[in-house]
Amino acid sequence: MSRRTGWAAVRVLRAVAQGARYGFDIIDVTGLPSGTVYPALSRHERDGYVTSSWEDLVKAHRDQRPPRRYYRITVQGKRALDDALAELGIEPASVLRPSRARAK
Amino acid sequence: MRAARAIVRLSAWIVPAESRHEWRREWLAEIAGGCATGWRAWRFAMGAPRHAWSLRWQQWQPATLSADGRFAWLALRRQPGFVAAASGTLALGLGATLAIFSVAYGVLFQPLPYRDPARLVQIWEVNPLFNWTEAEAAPGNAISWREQNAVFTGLAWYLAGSDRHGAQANMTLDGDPPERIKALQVSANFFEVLGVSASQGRTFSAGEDTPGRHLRVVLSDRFWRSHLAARAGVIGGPLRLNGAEWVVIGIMPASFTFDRAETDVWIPAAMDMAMARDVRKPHFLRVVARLKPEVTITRAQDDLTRVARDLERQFPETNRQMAVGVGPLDDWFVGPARRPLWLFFGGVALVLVVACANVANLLVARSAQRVRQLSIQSALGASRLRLARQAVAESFVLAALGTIVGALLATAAVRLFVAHAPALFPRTSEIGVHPAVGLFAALLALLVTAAVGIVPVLQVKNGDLRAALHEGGRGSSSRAGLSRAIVAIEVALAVSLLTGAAMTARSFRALVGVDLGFPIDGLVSAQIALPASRYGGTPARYASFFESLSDSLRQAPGIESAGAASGLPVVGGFWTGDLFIDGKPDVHGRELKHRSVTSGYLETLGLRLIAGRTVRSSDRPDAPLVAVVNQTLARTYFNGEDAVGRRLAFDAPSKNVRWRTIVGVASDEPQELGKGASPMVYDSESQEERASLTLLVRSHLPAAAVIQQLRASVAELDKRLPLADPGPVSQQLHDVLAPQRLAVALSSVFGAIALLLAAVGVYGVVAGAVAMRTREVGVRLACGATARDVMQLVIRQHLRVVWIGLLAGGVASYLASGLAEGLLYGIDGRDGLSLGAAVAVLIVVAIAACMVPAARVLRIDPVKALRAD
Repeated sequence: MSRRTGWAAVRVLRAVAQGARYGFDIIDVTGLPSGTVYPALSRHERDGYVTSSWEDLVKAHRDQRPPRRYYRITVQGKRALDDALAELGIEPASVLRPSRARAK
Repeated sequence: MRAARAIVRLSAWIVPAESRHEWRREWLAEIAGGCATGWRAWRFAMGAPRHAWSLRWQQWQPATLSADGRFAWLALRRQPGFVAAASGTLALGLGATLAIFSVAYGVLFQPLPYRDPARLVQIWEVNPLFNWTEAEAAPGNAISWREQNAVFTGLAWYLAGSDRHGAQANMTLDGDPPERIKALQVSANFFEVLGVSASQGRTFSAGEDTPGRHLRVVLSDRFWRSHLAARAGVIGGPLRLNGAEWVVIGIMPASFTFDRAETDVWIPAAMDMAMARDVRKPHFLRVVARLKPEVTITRAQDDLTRVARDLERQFPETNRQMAVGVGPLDDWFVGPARRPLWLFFGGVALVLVVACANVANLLVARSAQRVRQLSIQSALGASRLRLARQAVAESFVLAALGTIVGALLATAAVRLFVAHAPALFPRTSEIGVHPAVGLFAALLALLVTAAVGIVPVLQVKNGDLRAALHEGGRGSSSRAGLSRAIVAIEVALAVSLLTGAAMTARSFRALVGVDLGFPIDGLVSAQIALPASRYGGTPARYASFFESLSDSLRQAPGIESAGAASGLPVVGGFWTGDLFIDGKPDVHGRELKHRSVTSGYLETLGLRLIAGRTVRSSDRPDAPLVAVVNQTLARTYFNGEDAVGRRLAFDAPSKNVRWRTIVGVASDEPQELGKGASPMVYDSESQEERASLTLLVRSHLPAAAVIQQLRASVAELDKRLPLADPGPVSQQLHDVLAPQRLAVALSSVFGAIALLLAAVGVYGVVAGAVAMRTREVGVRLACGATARDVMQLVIRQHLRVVWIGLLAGGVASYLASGLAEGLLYGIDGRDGLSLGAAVAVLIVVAIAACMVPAARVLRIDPVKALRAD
C-alpha cells in the first residue's frame, strides 16, 4: 500500500483476504462500522487491491433477497497486504493461511 | 428497515452519477439480506452518507485532477494552431492590460513619496488679462501668500522652468574636465513642507536661502554615488560649484524625487526677502504648500483669493485681475497624463474583454467539431461532470499559457516604456512590477480563466449533450448570433483603432516634413553658462566672451558661421514680455516672444533678412538699443508701414521704459513645431548681458569634429568652462518629436492588436460554422453543388458580419474625430485616406481569415458527412 492507509483499511483488506466477501460479512469479521468499511473497500477497488462482482441472481433469488456485491482480493492486493503487515510487524503467512485453506 | 432504506436512497444523490445506480443496489441488498433487527439496519445505513461523500471527494483528488490536466494537454497538443490562436489572443489582451495597469498604478495611484501627501498642494497664479491659467508666481506675491494665509502650516517655492516643471539650473561642477550638473533651486523650508528628511546630514534650515548664507548644497543619492563614489564623510565637506566653494550639508534618500528625476543637487533659491517683497513682476516661482489639518482645498482657495484681492487693491499696476489657483500636488505632476492613461486603461480593458470573448468563440467552434468525440466518451460512461471538467481543464491550460506569455509581454513592454518615456512622462521612476500589479495580474488571470472556462460548463450543463448528439451537432442559433455580434464589434473596434493609428502616423509624417524656414542639416549647438564670479563684474563681460568665441570659431577650418543666442528655434528657449509700440497705444500689453542674440546668430541659423540689418557686434550697451523683429510682428502691427526705424519695448511697465529701435525684419522661425509663428523680437546680447547662451555653429563637417573644435575654442578662452549638451540641432528636433513618436508607436500597437483580434474572431466564427454545418454541406455537395460554390456561400454569409462591423467602425471613427482635434497636425480630423486605408486592410484580413476555415469545405466528403449521422 503505497499511500498512507489507516489500520482500519488494512483490517478490511485482511478480512477480504481471509474470505469475507460482502459488506456485512466484513463488518462482522472486523467489527468496524459500515461508514469505515465501505470507503475503505472503494479505495481498495480503485487502487486495484480488490475486485467486485455481483452475486448469481438465481442463488440470491433462492435465498429470497436481492443479489449482493462480492469482493475478492487481487494478486496486487495480496502483495500490498503483505507489505503493510510486514511494516506493522505482523507475520503475513499466519494471516493468509486460513484463506488459502478455505480456498482448497 | 424503512428508515435505513431512506437514508441510503437520500445519500445516493451524493454519489457521482456514473456509479450511483450500482452503489444504491449494493447498499439496499446488504440491508435486505443481512439485517435481523431494525436497529442493526439503521446503524448499518448510517455509514452510507460517509461512503457517498468519500466517493464524491475522490473525484476531486489531485490524481484525477492532474489526469484531467494531462488529458487536456494531450488533446490540445494535437491542435497547435488552435492553442496558438487562443492563448496568443489571451496573452495579447492580458499583456496590454497588465502593462497599462503597471504604468497607471505607478503614475496615478501610488501616493507621492512624501509625508501625508494628501495635504500637499500646488499654488499658481491665474490672470484672465494674459490668458494665464496656471502661471508662475511673482516672489512678492508668494511671500504675501506665505505671510497672510490662514490655511497652511508651511509654504515653499522653487524656481520655475518650462511647462509645469521646475527649472533645472545648469551648474558647473569644477574639476578637470569641468562638468555641467542639474540643480533645483528651492526655498529653505522646501524639504520641511514636503515632510522629507535627509538620509545623511540635514536639509536646509531657516534663513539659509538668504544671499551670502546660501552656499549650502543637498545632494541626490544618485549624484553622491556617481560623483563621490558613495564616500562616507562628505557631509560638511566642500563641493566646488560655479567657481565657488559650497558646503555639502546632506544627502537625500534614493527614493526621493521631485518634479523630475534628473536633479543632481538642491541649492537654496537665494532671495533677499526685503527686496523680493516688492518684486510682483516677473513671475518665476512655483509654489507648494502643506494644508493645516481639517482644511480643504476649497477653503484654501477661498483664503488665498482673499489675499489676492487685497494685493490687487494694494498693487493695481502689477496685480490687476491677478487671481490664485490651488490644486493637489499629485494632480500637478500627473494632471496632463491622467486622462490619456485612463483612456488607455479603458481601451485595454475592452481589448481584454474582446480577447476573452474571442477565445470563448474559438472554444465553442472547437467543441462543435468535437461532438463525435464527446459522444463516444459519453457512451463509454463518462459523466457530464467528467466531460465538463475535462473541458474546463483545457480552458485552464489555455488561460495559464496566455497568462504566462501575457505577463512576459507586459514586463517587456513596461521596460521598454520606462526606458523611452521618462522625458515625457511624470513619475516614471515609480513604474515597475509592484506587488499590487502582481495581485492585479493574478486577479485578471483568474477572471480570464473563469470567463473562458464557463463556456464548456454551460455547454455541457445547459444543453442536454445527448440531445445535441442526436442532432448531429447543429448548434443553437442564438449562440451563433452572439458570436457574430462579437465579431462585428471587433471589426468596428479594429477599424476605429486602425484609422486612429493611420491618422497619428500621417500627422507625424506631416510634422517631420514641416518646412522649418532654415536648413537644419549642418547645425550644431552647445550650451555655455558663464559663472558670475568671473564674468559678472561691472561692466559684465558675458557678451564679449561670446563675441570673441564666435570670432575664433569663424576662423577655424570647416566652420562656416557661428553665433550665440538665449535659445534655439523649435527646441525651446525664448522669453515672453508685454509688447509696447511707440505711437500704437492700442497694442499695449500684447504677448511678445523675445530672444537675445549675438552678431552672426541669425545668419548662422539661415533666416532671411527682409528689411534693414541684423544684430551687429557694434550694438553695444553704449549704442542705442536695437531690435530685429520677425515678419509676423511686422505684418501684424505695421501692416503696410515700414517697421524699420520705429520703436518698441517689452520690459515695461516700469518707470524708465527701455525703448528699442527696430533695425531689421527677419523671416519667421518656427517657434513651436506645428504651430504658426507669433510676434517675436531679437535683441542684442551685448545690450542685455545674459550669462547663459546656446552656441550655434554651421559646418559641413561631421558633428563630432565640430564638437571637438567647439571644445578646443572654448578651452582656448577659458579652461574651466564646461560645454553642456553639445550635438546636432537635428538630433534635438528628433528628441522634441519623442511624444509624437510614442503616440505613433502606441496607436500602431493598439491597431495591430485590434486587427489580430478581429482576424481571430472572424476565423473562429467561420470555423465553428463550417464544423457545425458539415452535414448541410454534405447535402449540398451531394445535390451537385461544387465545393467552390459552397465555399463562396460560406464566405459571403460571414462577410456580412464584417460589412456591418466596417460600417459601424467607420461611423464611430467619423463621430470620434472630434477627440483628435488639436492632437493632429497637417491633416483633418476626418481624414478619408486614413479611414480608407484602415477599411482596405481590414477587408483583406477578414477575407483571409474567412478563407482559411472555409477551405475546409473542400475537404468534406459528402458520403462521409452524410454517413456520419
